[in-house]
Amino acid sequence: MSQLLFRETPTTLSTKKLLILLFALSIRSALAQSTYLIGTLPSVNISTNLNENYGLNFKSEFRQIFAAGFMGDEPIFDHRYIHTDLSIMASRKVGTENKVAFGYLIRMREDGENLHRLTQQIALMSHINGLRLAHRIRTDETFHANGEPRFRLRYRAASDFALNGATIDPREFYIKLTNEYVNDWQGGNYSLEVRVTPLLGYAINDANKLEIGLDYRIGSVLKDINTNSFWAMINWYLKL
Amino acid sequence: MKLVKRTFLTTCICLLCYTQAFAQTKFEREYRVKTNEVPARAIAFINWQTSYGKIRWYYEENFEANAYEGKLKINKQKYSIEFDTLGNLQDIEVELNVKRIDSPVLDEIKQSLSEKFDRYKIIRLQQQFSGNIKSLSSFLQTPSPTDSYVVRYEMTIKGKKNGSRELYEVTFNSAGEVINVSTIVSRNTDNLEY
Repeated sequence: MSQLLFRETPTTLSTKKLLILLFALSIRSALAQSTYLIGTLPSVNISTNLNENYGLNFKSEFRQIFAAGFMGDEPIFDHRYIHTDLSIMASRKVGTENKVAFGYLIRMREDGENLHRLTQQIALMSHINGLRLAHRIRTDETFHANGEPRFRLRYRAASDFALNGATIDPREFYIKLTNEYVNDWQGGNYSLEVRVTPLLGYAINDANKLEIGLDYRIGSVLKDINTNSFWAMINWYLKL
Repeated sequence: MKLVKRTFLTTCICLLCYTQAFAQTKFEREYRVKTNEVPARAIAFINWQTSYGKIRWYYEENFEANAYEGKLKINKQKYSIEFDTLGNLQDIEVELNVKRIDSPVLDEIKQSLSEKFDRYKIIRLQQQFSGNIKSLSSFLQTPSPTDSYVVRYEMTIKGKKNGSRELYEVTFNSAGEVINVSTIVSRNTDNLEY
């Protein structure tokens, strides 16, 4: 409709101003309908091989919030510890570089009410012109005492590449990019969250890596009010 | 909860110290170098050829031998020209599609792979040329049947044998006979999976 208007009506300076004003107002309106969270999400990730085909992964991460509010409004600073996660996953190699894994996570929340989550995933590794690309399909089921169970279906694409040279060698920096789509069902409600995570990594060696960056999550994508989360991340990956 | 946080941080510090103390001693890396860091002899060889456009220079370090490697594209094909640390030409590798190998050689290669593996899939193929500088230079410009260089094929394959799946590097001579098979240690993928 707007394109039709452009074709039929000569664009004058006042029309342009009006359109810019409407555009700015629509952005302001969209932002006013969004919330944000700023926090930290450090994690430690330890893996070990049990034998040629089986392995275990332990992960711990904890969240803190430093600011929250509505987009465009004054921030409400509210430093708060949210939760600590502890998880264990058992994996089995199903191809040269592909794995299936099953796991359990306990989330210890600030209010003392623990959540329990069961996770199933398949990770498929592919190589495109020397670039590693991992596809991860994950399902999880979350249970807690006072609430409906939550079911999620997730897909994540992740890749990393060396900043110097063709492969990530010891004592080199690298970039890791991930993009994840999280479908969430709880009590008859559905929501979609999209996550984008650019990280700068440093490989101490192949079994010991540190990553730092931002995890941006936009939730309730198909709904009127979006939630925007910005998590500062420090990940430590260790293979024993 | 303060206790949980304190435990978490203490565990991180302890584990970091532990891994530093027992870090791997194997040393192998490849990194970009600027053109002015490459030996003049290697640069001269490249300049001697027709202009190829952009060349990326790398330095490869390992326990066996260090080398300079110039990576470039000629007619959309990936070339890798390797020199020793003094700039002497070592070999030229060309990445190519399996379909471009002569039929009898390819049949021999397939036969050899079928004998060594229960199942396999070719991931990457490079044709390797080594010989005197004149022949290799001629190969880069206008290949001629009279050029005398040694041709080998280097393949990266996903192979299954005795129920175990691994990545392998298999080297063949110009007739398609296996010269060497080595297992490639897969790089750690934990940070892409979890």
